[in-house]
Amino acid sequence: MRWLVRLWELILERFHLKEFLEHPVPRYSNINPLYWFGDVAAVSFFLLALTGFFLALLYTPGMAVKEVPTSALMPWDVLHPKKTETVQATQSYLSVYTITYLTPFGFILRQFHLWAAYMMIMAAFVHFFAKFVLGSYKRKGGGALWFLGVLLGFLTVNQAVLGYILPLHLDGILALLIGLNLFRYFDYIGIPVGGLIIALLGSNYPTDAVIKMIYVAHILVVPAIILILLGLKIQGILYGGVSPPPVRDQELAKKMVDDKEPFYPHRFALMTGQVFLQISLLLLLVAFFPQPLLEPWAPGEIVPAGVRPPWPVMWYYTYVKMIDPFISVGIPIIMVLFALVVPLLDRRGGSSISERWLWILIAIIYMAIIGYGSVLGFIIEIPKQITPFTRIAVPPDSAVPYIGTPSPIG
Amino acid sequence: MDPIALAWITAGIAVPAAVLVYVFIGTDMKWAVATGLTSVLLLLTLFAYTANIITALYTAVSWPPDPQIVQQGVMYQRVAAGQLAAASFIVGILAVGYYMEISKKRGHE
Repeated sequence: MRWLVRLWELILERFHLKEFLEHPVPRYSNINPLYWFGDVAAVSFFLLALTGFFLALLYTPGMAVKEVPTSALMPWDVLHPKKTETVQATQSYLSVYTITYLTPFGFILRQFHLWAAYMMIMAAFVHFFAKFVLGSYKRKGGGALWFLGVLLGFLTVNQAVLGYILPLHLDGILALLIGLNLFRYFDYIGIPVGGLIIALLGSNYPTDAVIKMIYVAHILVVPAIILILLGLKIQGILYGGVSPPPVRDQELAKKMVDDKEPFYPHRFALMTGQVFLQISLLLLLVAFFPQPLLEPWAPGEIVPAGVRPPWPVMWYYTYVKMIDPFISVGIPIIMVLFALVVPLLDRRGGSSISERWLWILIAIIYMAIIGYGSVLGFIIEIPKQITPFTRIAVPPDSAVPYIGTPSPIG
Repeated sequence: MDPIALAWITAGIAVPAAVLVYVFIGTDMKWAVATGLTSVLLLLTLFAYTANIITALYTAVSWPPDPQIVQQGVMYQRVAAGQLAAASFIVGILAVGYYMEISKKRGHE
């Protein structure tokens, strides 16, 4: 036992971990729930990386079409029953099907990954709202952390959509359609992003190469960027401290900041508890609310009405269908750009809630826009064609449908 | 064993254990740890049993799969997820309880 203690001490000494473990953390940030959601999002990211590693070993992307007996589809996956004996499915879909239904523990693995992704997005939204309310960007170095946070939020939603495309089910193809149409919007306003994306993908419809690129982006490129930004953010918090307490009384605020606990064992125990409780919640969601794999899609097949995109982008989809696309398609871009400049606009006064009611109102409007669109998208069927550009006169070179019957160009 | 019976046995162990651990955290941490770890051990034994059934079940899977076997496999995996969730929950509340304990001690100094 003594040699183990000696080894532990040696590790702490050689890697200078003692400084890290003993760094003081204000007690208020340990007990106030508004300070927890960044940790939840970060832990979700690492859980996603862990499950994603195993999923990446088992998943093979591909557009090759195979015939699947209709009886092989699980009843909970079928929303639009087909009377034929077989259905067409891509290699990607069959790969996810094999992981989910034909691999021991594959069902838990995929469901856990899916729910962890949803939890990461939800935690990122709440974290954004909490930091907006707390005015975290007002402290020294807070603006840079806020900037990183907005970029991380944007990447998180992108990562979710990329992952949602990979099984190539009807909903995934709809997500791809929405994503590519977003690039078309840039083309329309004169920024040739759509053209650039087509040049990068080498095609304007999903091919083996396109799916492979989406796969690589999902498992390598975006997670690597997230990891770097997350590392910078953790470093900034470690040395710059957490957000100041949201109280007006300066004396009380100082007292709260000075009331500190060492990271180890205090915050460490709390974080261990958080990790296990988070895993527990995710596994409970897997056990009680398993998500369907959904129906397969085959090239050339039109996405039927009633298919919905994943909930993180549902609000956007709803507005695109409700409001004139010229305004609605740009909503998330405007929201992200505005969020990026918030620290430059909100500079005066303290960080207490009573001093910042206008900015808290703006934070509530942000959440209301996302919440209203999401709820509305799920409870009503908005009768409009799926493409958001039905009312926009698209330039002729952008008018080629991105998804449809394959007809190679170039 | 039937997956629903397994789920009930899991709940029968996990719910009283979680309540007991929660009660003991407020009174005596030693008892909380003892109860917590014993119940985690029991839940992991149940998980090992369920995992055995799952691996045995999946040796019978062929292509095209029999939907009934797949549905049964899904049921057992959901139960296995529940068992791990319960064990994880107990470890989680023990860790949070430990934080509350050391934070409280420091406050009394």
